[in-house]
Amino acid sequence: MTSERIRVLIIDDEALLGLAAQDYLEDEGRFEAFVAEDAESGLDLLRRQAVDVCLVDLRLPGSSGIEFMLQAQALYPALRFLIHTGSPEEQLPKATIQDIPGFRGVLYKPVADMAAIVRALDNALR
Amino acid sequence: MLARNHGRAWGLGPLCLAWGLAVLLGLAAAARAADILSPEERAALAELKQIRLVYDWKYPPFEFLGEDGRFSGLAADFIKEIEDSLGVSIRAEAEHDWPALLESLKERRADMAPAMAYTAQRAQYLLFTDPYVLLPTVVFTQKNFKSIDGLADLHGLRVGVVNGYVSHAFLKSNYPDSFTIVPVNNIQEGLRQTAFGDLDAFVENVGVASYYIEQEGLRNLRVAATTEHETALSMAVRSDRPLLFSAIQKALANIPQERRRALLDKWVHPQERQIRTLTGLLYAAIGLLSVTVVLLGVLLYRARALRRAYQTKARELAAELDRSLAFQQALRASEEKYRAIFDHAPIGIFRCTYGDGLQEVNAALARMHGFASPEAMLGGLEHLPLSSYLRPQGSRDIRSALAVSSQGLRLEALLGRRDGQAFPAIINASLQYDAAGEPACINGVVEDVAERRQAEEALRESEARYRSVIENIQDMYYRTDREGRLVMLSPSTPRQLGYDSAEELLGRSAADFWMETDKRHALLERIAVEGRVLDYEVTLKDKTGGPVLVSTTSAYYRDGEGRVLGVEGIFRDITGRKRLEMQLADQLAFQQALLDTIPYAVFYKGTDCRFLGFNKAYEDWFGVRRQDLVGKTVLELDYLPAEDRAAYHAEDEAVIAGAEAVHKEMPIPLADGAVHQTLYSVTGFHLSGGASGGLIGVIVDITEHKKMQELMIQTEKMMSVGGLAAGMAHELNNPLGIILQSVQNMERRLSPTLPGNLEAARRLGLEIDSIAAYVRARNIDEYLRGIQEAGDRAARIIRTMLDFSRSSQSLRASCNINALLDMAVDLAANDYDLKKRYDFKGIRIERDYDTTLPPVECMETEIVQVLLNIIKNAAQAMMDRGQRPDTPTLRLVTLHDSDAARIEIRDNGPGMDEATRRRVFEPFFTTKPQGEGTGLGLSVGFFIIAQKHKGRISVASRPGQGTTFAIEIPLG
Repeated sequence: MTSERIRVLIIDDEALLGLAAQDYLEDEGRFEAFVAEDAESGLDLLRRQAVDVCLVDLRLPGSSGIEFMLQAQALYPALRFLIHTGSPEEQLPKATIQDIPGFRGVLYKPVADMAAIVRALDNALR
Repeated sequence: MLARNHGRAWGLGPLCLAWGLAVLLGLAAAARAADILSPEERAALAELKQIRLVYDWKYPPFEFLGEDGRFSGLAADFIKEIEDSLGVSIRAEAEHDWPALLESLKERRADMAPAMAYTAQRAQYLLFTDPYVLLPTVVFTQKNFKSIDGLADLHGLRVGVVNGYVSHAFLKSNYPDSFTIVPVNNIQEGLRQTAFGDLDAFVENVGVASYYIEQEGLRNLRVAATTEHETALSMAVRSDRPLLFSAIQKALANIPQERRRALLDKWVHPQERQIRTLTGLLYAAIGLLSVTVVLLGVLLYRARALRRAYQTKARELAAELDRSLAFQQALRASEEKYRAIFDHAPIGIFRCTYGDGLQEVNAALARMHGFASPEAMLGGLEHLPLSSYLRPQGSRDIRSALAVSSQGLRLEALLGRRDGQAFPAIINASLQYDAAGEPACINGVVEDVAERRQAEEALRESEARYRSVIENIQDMYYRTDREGRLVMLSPSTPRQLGYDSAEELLGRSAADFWMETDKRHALLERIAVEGRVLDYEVTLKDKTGGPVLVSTTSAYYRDGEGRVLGVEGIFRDITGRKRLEMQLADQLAFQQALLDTIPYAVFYKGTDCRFLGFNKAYEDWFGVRRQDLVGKTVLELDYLPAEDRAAYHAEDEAVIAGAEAVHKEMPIPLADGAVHQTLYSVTGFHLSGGASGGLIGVIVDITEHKKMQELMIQTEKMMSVGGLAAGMAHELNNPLGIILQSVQNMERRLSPTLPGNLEAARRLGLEIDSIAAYVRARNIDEYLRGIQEAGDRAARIIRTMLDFSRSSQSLRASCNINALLDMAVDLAANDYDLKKRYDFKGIRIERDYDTTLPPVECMETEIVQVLLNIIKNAAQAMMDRGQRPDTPTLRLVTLHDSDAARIEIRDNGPGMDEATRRRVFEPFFTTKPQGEGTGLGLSVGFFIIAQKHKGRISVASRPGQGTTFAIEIPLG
């Protein structure tokens, strides 16, 4: 266990999903998790709070997860992103995603074992 | 008056010249028979058993073979007198010609002849009595022959005489160079030849000739002149019998004068009455008689000594007068006879006076000119439209023509009928001369030749038509003679054989133009047998030696008596026809090849519903041969059920009769033993002329098509499921995420092992272990696990459904199918779910791999997924074995199947019924207990094989028989 915890921003309009992930990660002890329910709130949070990696749902009210990542990346080039989506693989705008330097992978809902999220976050920061 | 007489006596010639007939009435004083012979003579006669006499059988009226077969005539009667007088018997034998008669006397086969003229030559072996009859020799000519005075006028002409007669010798010695002496065999011949113009004149003694003129009816002859010669007939006796001779001589002399006259009356004068040409003679004789009587009267005063003699002559002439009356009667009878001929002759006969015109016509001529009778014609000549030959002015031309053609005239003229129509005729006319040798009449015959002309014209037209046919015929017409040389050719023949003219070919042997001479022999033999050969195909040579393919029709041609004169026929160039035949054959070959290439069964039948033919597919499908079926109707096809045949036949008949074409789907059992779904079509077809030609049937096997159609429907269903899943996925995945993630947190936060839980429980004054115990005690942990499993299942279903909408982007690679199968078996053996229910190790695995199977381009993981799914299903199915003793066995087969790799997975499980079998690929169809299967495994497998790999997957199964899945993946 390191002295500094990994700061994770979870953006999901399903509040309970955000909460579940936040709780799991904080139960793990190595993570400090923040939750936003839309892209705009997420960006606000990023201005106030330094974050290492974002777990982003794509379908969001207002700006989409993609738009969030593009803007966030622009503001914080070191920021890493994982996509957490309920859409099938083929619906992903792959070309756009590949243009985001901090993009590190996709997690498809439902994630039955959130250990997969932990592994993905660890991998994203490696 | 004169004209009338001529008219009535139309057939008579002009008066002939008078001629004389003298009979030697007495030669010596009568002697009594009893004492006329000397004793030597008597002895000689007695010594002769028989006196043999020979006579000319044809020398009437003097000697001839009578109709009763006896020796007849004047000489015979004289011989009778002699026999009586001498008291001997003389046997008479007829000789058939004069030289033979002389010969038998010369050779002493005969003793005597009764009527012979003396010549020095005959006197060398014969002794001649004194003549007992004198006959003047005269000249006979045709009536219209020129006037002559005697033999001297015959200079340069042909004069006949009987060979060997005295008259013959007379002419030869007296007129050796004056004219041509033509010896004839007998008198009849001489007279006939004269009558027909072969001889200009004939010289013979008047008695015999006259007899024959009457007999033969040679009425155009006349006596033209007398000669200085006369025939004195004696009896001749062989010179070595002088005593017989002297006896005959004495007996002849002993015949009394009266007796002699009577005999002469009997034989000579009656003949004269029969001869019309002698009429003139009688008139002349009567004239002469008158003059003679007057002369006699004068002379009576001056020469009384001659009185007795003249009185005798006068008596004779008076007797002649009596005879002339009888003669006239006979004349009338004769005339009537010829009148009948004139009236009824079928050709026209006319008679004109030389100067004035028509005197007499017969009925035929009147009819010819359109008159009812000769009288009507004679009275109506002015009605004839044309200047007629029958009128004086019209006959002028004929007269002048006749004047220079003494032999008569033949001319063709267009004559007129009373109704104005003309008709062609041939006129034969001749001049008749009067006693003075001047032309008196024109006699002629007229023949209507209209019909003959028409026949000739028809013949000409026929010939022209025939010629035109030959000239214009495209086929080659030829005719050869008996030696096989070309004697006649149509103009088309040289043209078609490349020659410039028929002359190059005529006269050459027909065989020169045959490529195959043996075929020509064969043709000639067939003609000899059959008379005529049709459509015989041969090859001719053209001028360059090149082949000309022809078909010939040839036959003998014959003359009027049926004798074969050669061969004739036509050659027809069939190069074009052959080309067409070959084109047709090519077309048929192409047509059959086309039909055989068509993968559907095609058949066609004639209007009698009998098979004309069908294609290879038909043969293969039904297991029949063309040659066995062509000509039969569907009723005879024993591989079809009887009731079907009747139905097919009725349908065939209806279609041929013009009913609507038939198109229908129907199951048909084929030779492979399976019932195939087919699309069956039958349509009538028409020949080029519009008549019905029969029907054409096509059977399309749509079994595969039907399957594909089912698969398409299946695929469509899955695609729609996929589409639905894609639409729903997001909406379902979020709640599933909430459920699953929440449950995970709940489990973790109830667990005593999570460090944060202790702190939270202590803050609330709780014992974490108590909480955990409570959760277990109240089965909360089980509920939570249940929620988690349900969420998992739902999530899996959605993922699978999403597969249907996914166009796989997976990479294809060359895979070894056998290896993939083994991989799938390994996975199944280690499958967690399966382990729970069955020990895979209890299943016997049989492998029958085709090791030569080439690598297959495919998506490895997906193929393995499909195989695994099938193997798992099989293993599960084989669990329900009941009491079956046999080992559960999974048989795996790979095959190189033409252009596909084929995989078969066969189990010996319980199998399935048809209803189940048909639905196994259907999404969400499952026979497993609720919760065990998604009902999507085989659907996905189908999707992967059919949709993603363009292959095929099928299942065959029967209850109790196990199940076989077959997968085909295209190679390359």
